[in-house]
Amino acid sequence: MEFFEYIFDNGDRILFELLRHLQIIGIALPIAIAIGVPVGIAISNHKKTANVVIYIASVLMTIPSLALFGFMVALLAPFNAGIGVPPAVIAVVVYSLLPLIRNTLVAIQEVDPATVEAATGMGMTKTQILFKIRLPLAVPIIMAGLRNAAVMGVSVTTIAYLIGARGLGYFIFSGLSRSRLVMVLVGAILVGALGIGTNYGLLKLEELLTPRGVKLSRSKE
Amino acid sequence: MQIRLKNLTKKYDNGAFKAVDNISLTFDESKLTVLIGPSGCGKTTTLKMINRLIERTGGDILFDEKSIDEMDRINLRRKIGYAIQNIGLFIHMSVFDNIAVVPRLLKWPEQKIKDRVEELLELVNLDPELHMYKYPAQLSGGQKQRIGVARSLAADPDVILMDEPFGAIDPINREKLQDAFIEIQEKIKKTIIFVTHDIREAIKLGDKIVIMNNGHIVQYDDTINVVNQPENEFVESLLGSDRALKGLEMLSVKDNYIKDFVSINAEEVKTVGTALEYLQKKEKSYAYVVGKKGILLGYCTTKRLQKKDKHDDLIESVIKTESIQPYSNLMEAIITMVEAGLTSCPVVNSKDQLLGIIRFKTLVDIMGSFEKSEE
Amino acid sequence: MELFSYFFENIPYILEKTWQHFYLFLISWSIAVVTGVFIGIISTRPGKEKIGRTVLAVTGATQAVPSTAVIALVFIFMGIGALPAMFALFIYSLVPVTFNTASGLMNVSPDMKEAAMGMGMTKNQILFKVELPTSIPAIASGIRTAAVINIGTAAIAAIIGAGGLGEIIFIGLRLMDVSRIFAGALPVAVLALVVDALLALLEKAIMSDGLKLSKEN
Ligand SMILES: Nc1ncnc2c1ncn2[C@@H]1O[C@H](COP(=O)(O)OP(=O)(O)OP(=O)(O)O)[C@@H](O)[C@H]1O
Ligand SMILES: [Mg+2]
Repeated sequence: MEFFEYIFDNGDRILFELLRHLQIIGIALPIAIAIGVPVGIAISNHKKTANVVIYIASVLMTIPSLALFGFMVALLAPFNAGIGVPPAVIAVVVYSLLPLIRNTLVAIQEVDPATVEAATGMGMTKTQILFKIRLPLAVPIIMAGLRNAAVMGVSVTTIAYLIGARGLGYFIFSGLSRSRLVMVLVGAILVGALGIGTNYGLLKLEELLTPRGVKLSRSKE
Repeated sequence: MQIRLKNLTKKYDNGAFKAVDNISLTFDESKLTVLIGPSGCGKTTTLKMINRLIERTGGDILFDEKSIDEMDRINLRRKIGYAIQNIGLFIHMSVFDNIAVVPRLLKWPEQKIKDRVEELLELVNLDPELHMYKYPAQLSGGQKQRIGVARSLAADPDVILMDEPFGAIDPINREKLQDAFIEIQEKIKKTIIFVTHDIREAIKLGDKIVIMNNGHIVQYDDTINVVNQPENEFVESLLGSDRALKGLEMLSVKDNYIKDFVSINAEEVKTVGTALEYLQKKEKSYAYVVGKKGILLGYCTTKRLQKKDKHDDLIESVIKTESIQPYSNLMEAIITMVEAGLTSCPVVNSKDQLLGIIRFKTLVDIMGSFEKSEE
Repeated sequence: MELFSYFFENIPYILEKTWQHFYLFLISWSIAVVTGVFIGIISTRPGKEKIGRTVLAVTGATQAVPSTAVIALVFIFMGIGALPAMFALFIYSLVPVTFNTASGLMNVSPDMKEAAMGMGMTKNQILFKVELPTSIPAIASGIRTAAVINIGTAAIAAIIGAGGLGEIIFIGLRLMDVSRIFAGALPVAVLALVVDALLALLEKAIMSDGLKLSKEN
């Protein structure tokens, strides 16, 4: 009862924090895509560079988010940027890079060599092969990377409340420090639903964007 | 287009290993030449140097006497059809889009592309309506191979390179595809270079055969000469011991059937009585019976007809029979006849129209002549 | 080096917090590994494909739930302290281990299983000689993921009184003491990287050569 009361009384607040949450992710993901996908493509021809890039990205992702925010506050403080939306966006970008770069790389590399040979033999240029063959075949895998990144973004942004970026973390952390159970519960449910919803929505989008022929050949395996 | 290889060489490992070693030969215009030899002898390497998927390390390749170096690599490939063993169909594209790739690269108008795709699907015996918008995953192995072949023909190239294009198919369907392919080449008359592992396939399809070993050419000649006069023991071992039977594979029914034979048209001769009269007049004990447009219905014998009433319908006394198509080889004809217990077999075209008959005795005589040359 | 001042002045305290952090992680993670692998195995035994698929669907969806939500829920039901914190960490690590074990086992090629059956292996022999060995890459990666997110989540769990290195970061954030924040963040990051690297080595050591080869190709 108290739960619904809280929701009705704080509708505006919930909407505001939800929008802020989505705003951070909405800024970060396009940046991450703009970096991750081209990098993934660029390194697909250089095995050594690819290993180094993937290693760096995975080290970055292994750093716990609270620690990453800690570093960011510490390192960006001199520039007066350690607090608020910018470090939150940077953190989401950093965590999104690995899934995006790795999935793009794997998707581009795993295209059947016979397919590439046929395309080359037919007189496609390298660029044509990239855009007409490799990328369409890679879309589902890249989308899976994006989904990974988005789900992580939801989670990381929750913690970004602690460095003043606001967002849905407000209900959990503020509720915890005031020991207001109902607020914590509302926060937990909102955050959980947003995570599951993002995952599900992007999964559907992934299915929508997968070329039909690829879907058919997958279901046959 | 004629293709000439001049001292063509491909070295690997800084020259320590020669995959193709100084070979020179000319692929004749409008002929199908087969490259055959043991695994690793350099067939694929030779083929891929022609469309520059592999760069040669020595010698030259001349297209109608023009060096490959004078041509742009991408344009060259668009003018050469290419079909590979693993087919390499683009799984994210429909059958239509797969075949349309090179025409689109060459910027053909869409209508022309559509007509071309339909034409090609009919050529490889697939109903365009039914298959045009399917995806590779919805096709059988044999259908995929046909699309692969159709795709290599798409932009009407002068030259087609095929690397074991039927390699991944079971023997029965492979034979059907080979028949269809011979019929296609009969129509299009392209310069085709065809790699295979299978000596039977080589003999059946090739106008000429190149036998390779260790990056060298062991023998290059018309198919019939390779079979009749193998250059050395290597070629003989490749041909195998049953050369007489192999020889039959090289010859096709279309050159060995007879066209003067007795047939009854059921459209005109309707009763048993008239049929009997006709047979007696021709002094024959049996005759093939055809229906509308000369389509083969079966055969009838005097013995059987005499047991019937003269006013009975002839159609009801017709006995069904096996038949064979003109592009089948003589080996297939023998098998069909032995299995069905026939001493002669009707030859029909793809619409089942009766063209003639082939006699078992003819086949035995031909086999005999090969056995003689083997001694 | 003002950034490091708190760190160097409080080494014993930081070591104590690091040990506490490691302890929280080790207990909750170990139990989660054992439980998760167990659930993954029993839910995918022959004839139980439906249960297996359900487990996959549930764990697949809950992997998308942020760690803060789990901590919040555990707080609501169990209050504060190290025990609720460990329980939250256990639940949160359980998900990837279970998911990867179940999906690894369900993706073992039916051909291999059929071949094993045809050779006269019993169900248990098939599990231990074929299914588990070929699923090791999937299971191991689930265990590694669980370890890394466990260490990260343990830092956040300081907010419900778990102790550990998160405590230093939270106090630092409240005081806006950059040097203190850094002194907490650095060991958390190092701990996560070291544990991950050790598990990677372990994974390499136990994976059969055949698997390594077929993974490379
Ligand atoms: N990139 C390479 N580096 C070194 N050697 C190579 C390379 N590619 C091919 N070879 C060698 O060149 C030789 C010829 O290879 P090729 O692919 O032409 O054989 P092939 O006659 O087509 O055999 P198959 O019938 O098995 O397809 C082989 O011995 C092969 O090992
Ligand atoms: Mg080859």
